[in-house]
Amino acid sequence: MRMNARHDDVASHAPDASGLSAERANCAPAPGDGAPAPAREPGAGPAVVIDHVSMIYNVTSTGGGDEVPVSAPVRWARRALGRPPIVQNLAVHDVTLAVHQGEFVGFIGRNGSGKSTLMNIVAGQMNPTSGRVYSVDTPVKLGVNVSLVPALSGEKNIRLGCLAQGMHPRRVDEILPELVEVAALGKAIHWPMKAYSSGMAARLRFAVATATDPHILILDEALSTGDAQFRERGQARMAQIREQAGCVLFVSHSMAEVREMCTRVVWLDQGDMLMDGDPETVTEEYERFMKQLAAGNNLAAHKRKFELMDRLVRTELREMHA
Amino acid sequence: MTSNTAQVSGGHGRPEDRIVETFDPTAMQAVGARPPLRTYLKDLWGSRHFILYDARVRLAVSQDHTLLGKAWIVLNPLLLGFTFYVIFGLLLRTGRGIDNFVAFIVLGLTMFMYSSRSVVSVSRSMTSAKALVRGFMFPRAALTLSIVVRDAMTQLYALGVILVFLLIVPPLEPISWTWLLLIPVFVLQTIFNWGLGMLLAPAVHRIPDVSNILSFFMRLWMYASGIFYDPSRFVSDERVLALFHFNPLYQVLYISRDLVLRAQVPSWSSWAVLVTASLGILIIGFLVFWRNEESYADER
Repeated sequence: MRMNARHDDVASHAPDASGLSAERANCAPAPGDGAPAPAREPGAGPAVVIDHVSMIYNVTSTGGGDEVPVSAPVRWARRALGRPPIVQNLAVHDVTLAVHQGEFVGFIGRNGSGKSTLMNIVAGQMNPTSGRVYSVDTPVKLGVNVSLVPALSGEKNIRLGCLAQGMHPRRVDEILPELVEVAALGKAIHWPMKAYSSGMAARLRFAVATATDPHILILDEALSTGDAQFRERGQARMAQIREQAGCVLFVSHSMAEVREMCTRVVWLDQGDMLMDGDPETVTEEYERFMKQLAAGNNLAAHKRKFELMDRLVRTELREMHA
Repeated sequence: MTSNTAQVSGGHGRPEDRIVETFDPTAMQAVGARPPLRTYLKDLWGSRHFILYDARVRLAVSQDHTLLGKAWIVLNPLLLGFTFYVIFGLLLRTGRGIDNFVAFIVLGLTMFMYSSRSVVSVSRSMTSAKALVRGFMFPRAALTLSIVVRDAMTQLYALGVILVFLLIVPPLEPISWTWLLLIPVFVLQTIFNWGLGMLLAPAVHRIPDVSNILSFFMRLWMYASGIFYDPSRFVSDERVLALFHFNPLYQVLYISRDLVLRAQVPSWSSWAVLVTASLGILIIGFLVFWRNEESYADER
């Protein structure tokens, strides 16, 4: 079992040189010396394992000189057909992470840093180019671009969304009034969804996604379009999910929100992981980095980036079979 | 318990901190992995409530952008019948030796267009329904089935309208008990559509160009299925007739025309072709679709 396979050097605490991983180690229950580990108890193993995930997009580009080299006939054929050359976009580069039950992990980074791609991959909406994601339960993702049926009323969309998550119609009947209340849309609940503002639609989606009490919830800037009332309610609901031995992966550009809610923060930049640690340290470092970029100190910022990548406390996965 | 910091020698010859995580991949599910066939079928059965509700509401809102709304579900087949009545019944008055040529064409077209529409929409579903797949926990075959059910409900309206049309537009067709046998034809045709759509879906998702070719192919198939003619009048070559005989969609038209226009039950060999083709295509199509389950999440 897990105990037997544990490495000896793992059992003893190594001092944290950077201090970044102190928070991480505290998240998981501390190992009692020699005490047998309960194998399937909540919190025993990771809830989500991201195993060396990389994602490369092949996109057409109208310039830049970074095209993927192809043989001459292919190039001629593409030119004859008016198809622009293909370039490769490395959106996620070899990310390895393990998220435990009860953790609330924030993902931060500039636009185009691969946060959303990674979330799509964890949710199973996209296959990574290489690597695999393992999870103890089906992850439920709530994103900004989840579209239900625009012509359908809010109430019917809630019903459809619940059924799409495998709920029994009787159960939907039971909890529908409660969900309508969670969405707090007033009489707009009877309007077609295409008449909704983005904030109203976000409320509705949130009600649908949290209806099944998911163990693994992925939020991709899902709260950013909502008002203060909705955000508060959403945060309370997410705290509840965390208490029920679930975990939340959370993408946000609001550092205040990340600091307030997350127990751990991962910083991605152009597909690379730069930091993985406690919210205070990572968000501070990120804000300093962004300030440098905004001030035009690109060289200093890039130097900092490589320093951070070098210092990063990487996750090493070891497989073991019960 | 499983998360710990360990001193591991880094590549640069200096100590480096790592977090060692142990996990049991067999105790967890690989996200996006294709489940075994039995689980897949079980999950598909579990999705039945979603499939029926989804098909119903999508049919209900399918004409919401128009003024007349749901009335178009009935008006579309009615106008189709009327078109051919004007051309062949009033203007040309030709039957090419076929009794009630208007009914012959209208019934044939209604039956054939059901297949061509449904096969194309099912085969495109993995590309077109991307938005729906998000936040969706079922096997993706559930999505194809939902489209099949919606198309089948549309076709039920169309069939009802066309049968009434044949009863009220001259030359009148006498109603007969054999009309009831249209129900098994409809069921078998629906199974055929679903199977063929699933068979083509992986290819259409991988190479979207296939979808354009498919439209041409369905048109070719339509003219090869005796939409406007009775092949036994033009063809004497046994081999060519055999081609028609083993064309399941020709059999759909032939059987339904026999049942409705000639009030007779077609030979067992026609039924045998239709049953074999439908069930065969369903099994092959389902297996092919299931084998490619993971590929539908590939970025295109």
